[in-house]
Amino acid sequence: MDKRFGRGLTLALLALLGAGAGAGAGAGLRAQAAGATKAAPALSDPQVAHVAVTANTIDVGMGKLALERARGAAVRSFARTMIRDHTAVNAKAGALAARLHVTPLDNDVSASLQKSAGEARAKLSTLRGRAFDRAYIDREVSYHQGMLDAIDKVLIPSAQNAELKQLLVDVRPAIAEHLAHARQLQAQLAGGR
Amino acid sequence: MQYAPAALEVAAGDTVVWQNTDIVPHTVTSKGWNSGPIAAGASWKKVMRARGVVAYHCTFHPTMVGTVTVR
Repeated sequence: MDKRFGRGLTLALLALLGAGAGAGAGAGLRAQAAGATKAAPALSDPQVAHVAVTANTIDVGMGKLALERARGAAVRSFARTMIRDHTAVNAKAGALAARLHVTPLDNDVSASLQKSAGEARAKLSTLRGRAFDRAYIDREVSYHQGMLDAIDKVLIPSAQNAELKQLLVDVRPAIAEHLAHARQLQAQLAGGR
Repeated sequence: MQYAPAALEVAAGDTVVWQNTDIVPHTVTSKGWNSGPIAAGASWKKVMRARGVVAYHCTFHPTMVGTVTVR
């Protein structure tokens, strides 16, 4: 199993937390975890919105790549669900941003996500069939784990607007389900089915 | 992300309504019948006539499962 896929998100967020605190990543994490003393948010609302939209858009793109290259029916079905769900979430996020007059603002986390997605895409684009299925699902497992970590540790704590925060809370169960679904497929693929 | 309640008991002839309060589409799918996609905010209903336990799931999200027991 290639464990390198999808680690970019977590690493990028750790780096950003560290930078935000003006110290090492460890200090940033402690500041975030402390909670009681209300630290400045790691991201502004326009940045939170941009990260959310970027993360969804990346997974829609990966799903489309999977429909071009994946073999297994269950993997292809998973890819269609990723496209359907992440498109729906982005539509909701876009409508909320428009209503709140929030213009998503590019930032280091979004840039990092895009960079690691480009690398994952380059690697996946060399694979087909069963090899693609395994690599794609491995990537989806770590990517969704990274998204859950980001939602819990950065996006929800950072969001200031109540509706934006609520949208992130509402999205979380879908991400958790996608992770469980991807893990099921990962186990099936490892078993050779 | 789940059916709530996941286990429901109704009388034969009752109508069961599934409301999608989530932000992504779902289905209610069993042997022999399928709601098709139920959009966010939409609902779908079915009259439960045959007695017994009916297991169903979401074709999009395999971790979502439920039962209707028809008395």
